[in-house]
Amino acid sequence: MASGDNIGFFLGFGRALRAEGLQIGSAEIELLMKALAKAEVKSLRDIYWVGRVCLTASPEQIPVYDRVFQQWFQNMGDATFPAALALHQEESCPSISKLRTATIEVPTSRTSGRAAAWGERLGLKRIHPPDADELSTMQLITNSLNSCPPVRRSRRFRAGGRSGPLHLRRILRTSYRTGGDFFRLIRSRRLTRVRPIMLLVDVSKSMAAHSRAFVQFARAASHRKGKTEVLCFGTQLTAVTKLLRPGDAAAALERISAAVQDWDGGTRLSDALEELFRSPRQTRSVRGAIVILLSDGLDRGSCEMMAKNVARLSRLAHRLIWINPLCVDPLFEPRAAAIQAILPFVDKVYGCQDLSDVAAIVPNLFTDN
Amino acid sequence: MNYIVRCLVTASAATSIFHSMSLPRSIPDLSELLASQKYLADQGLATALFLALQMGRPLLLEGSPGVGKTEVAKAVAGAFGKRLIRLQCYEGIDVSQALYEWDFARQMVAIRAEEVSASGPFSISEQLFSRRFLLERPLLAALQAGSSAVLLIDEIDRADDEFEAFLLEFLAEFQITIPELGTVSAETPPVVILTSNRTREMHDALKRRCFYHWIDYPTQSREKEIILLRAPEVEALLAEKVVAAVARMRELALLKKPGIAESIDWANGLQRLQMRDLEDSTIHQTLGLVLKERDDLVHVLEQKVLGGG
Repeated sequence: MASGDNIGFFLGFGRALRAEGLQIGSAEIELLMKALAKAEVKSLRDIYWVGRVCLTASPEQIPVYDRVFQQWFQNMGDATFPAALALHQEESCPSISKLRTATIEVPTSRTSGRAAAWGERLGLKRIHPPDADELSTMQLITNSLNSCPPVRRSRRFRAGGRSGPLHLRRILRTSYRTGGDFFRLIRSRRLTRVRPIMLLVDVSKSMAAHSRAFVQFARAASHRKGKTEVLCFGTQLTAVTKLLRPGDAAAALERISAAVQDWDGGTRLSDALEELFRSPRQTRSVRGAIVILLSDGLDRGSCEMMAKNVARLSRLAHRLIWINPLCVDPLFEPRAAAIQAILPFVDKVYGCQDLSDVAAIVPNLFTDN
Repeated sequence: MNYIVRCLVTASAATSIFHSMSLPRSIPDLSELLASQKYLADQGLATALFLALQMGRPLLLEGSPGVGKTEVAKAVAGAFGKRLIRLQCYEGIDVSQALYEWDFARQMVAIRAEEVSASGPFSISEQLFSRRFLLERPLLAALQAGSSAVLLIDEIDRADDEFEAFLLEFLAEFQITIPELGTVSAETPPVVILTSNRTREMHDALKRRCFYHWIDYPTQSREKEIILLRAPEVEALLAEKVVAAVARMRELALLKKPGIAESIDWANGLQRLQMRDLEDSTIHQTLGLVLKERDDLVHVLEQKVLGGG
């Protein structure tokens, strides 16, 4: 192949990868051409690896790359091809693809609610856009989350404060004004950081009357300062953080309606948590966060597993707060086995049925003990 | 972090000329060199390293904990006789811990000493912000060392976004400006290896500056070779059993899957204890070397996946 042809060929390969969602521009192809020249590739296997090193940027992209590579290069008639690729696939592909199915992907587009995995009845639902009252309540919630945010001590220091270690940099700087004499000891103080919040919103049948209000709360919370993760769960787990934030509230709720595939179905909190723990990234976002569980706790799964998973959630999280619509009834006693199983691990339970109930508890959410 | 803004990383294209004499000529050569450092790299990793060395680009290694990401940097440093400079990232890491810091205590002492010796307070001022009072931190040390160093930026996912943004500029230019001293740049850039456990998604811009390689768990036969290379006193038969058992564990839905480091530890431990068979009692006593979460221990023992291994 002439080198001009080569460039055209690899540009086409790059376009095919781009069509599959990889971020590849001409700079990446240029890099690939240089790398191919440097590595003195001899077989397709070599090309495969050089391309993978240059063009992929996460393990999720590797199966996509493998597929496109196979499509693009199978017509080349290279005798080494089938053996080489088969060898490679035996080496590393199966476990990569396993890893991929095991992680919960953060959706990047509106169609990205995970496909039904467990054969449950799929439910679609349209969340009606919020009215003016609700909008102002949501604004109120955002404001009060911001006015007294949950904080933790950061590891960064600034000059100021009275009792921290000496801030030598600042002391020396100020001493220049007085010809090198130190008149005042300046100490440092620790900064604080806003704690992340994770909302776990139950969208099952028993929550049908409340899920609209709770999704609105989630939207309000996602606009606070600091990191807020929102996951919806019924029979499956759907990460909706990225869908919730942009645009106006009506559009955001619309996106959630479309993305969540299991509205008004069963509840499998335990399975949802297990799926969450399977992803290291999701697990990390629980660590040190304030987890707010919005659910009635009517789960039909095994109580033992439930207790185990909620216990782990509670160990990872800084605080576990449970907002339960059943708890507004003063006569309510937690008899359901699942609720009994969860309660020991929860730091605080609130009863809320609608958005105004939530707005009422939000100012004290992080200060109550 | 606002201090970083003051240490403006100025724009200038970094030249990527290495001491070509010390570079490997081909990918198999590189694999051999690494093997001499007791590191077995598969073709993907060897390709990634070869390109990173040849083209002077940073290499971002991702993979589950314990697959040998950090070891790569050590092996490269050893293989080419370069100095390993390691920057362990953590939350809140800032410029004074990563780049440089003035030695304020010594500066103060110097000022006082100057006053006492009565030669006037101003003669020292010339030297106050010279290299004499500069504490080098890993990034600056790597710039000074240039291509005679391997810079390992370990567990970048633990650092926060601000630091990642700073690193982006540093890696683009291999040059920093210290306001009091001037610009420091690397004549030839160091070999840079970044590792991440993927507990947080890196910014795309940083990834695009780097070659990328995902290190997977090795095949059983490869893992056995690694154990035998790293722990030569372990018997081959035992290594085989350990590798098979660990492979079965990795298939379970564990909270934390055992890495290669754990396999090596386990094989080593069993060998020291003179336990040559993986029986139930042996497993009970030593499983803590492989699995570090109680839930996982219980899960594996309940499932009895290791019986007959």
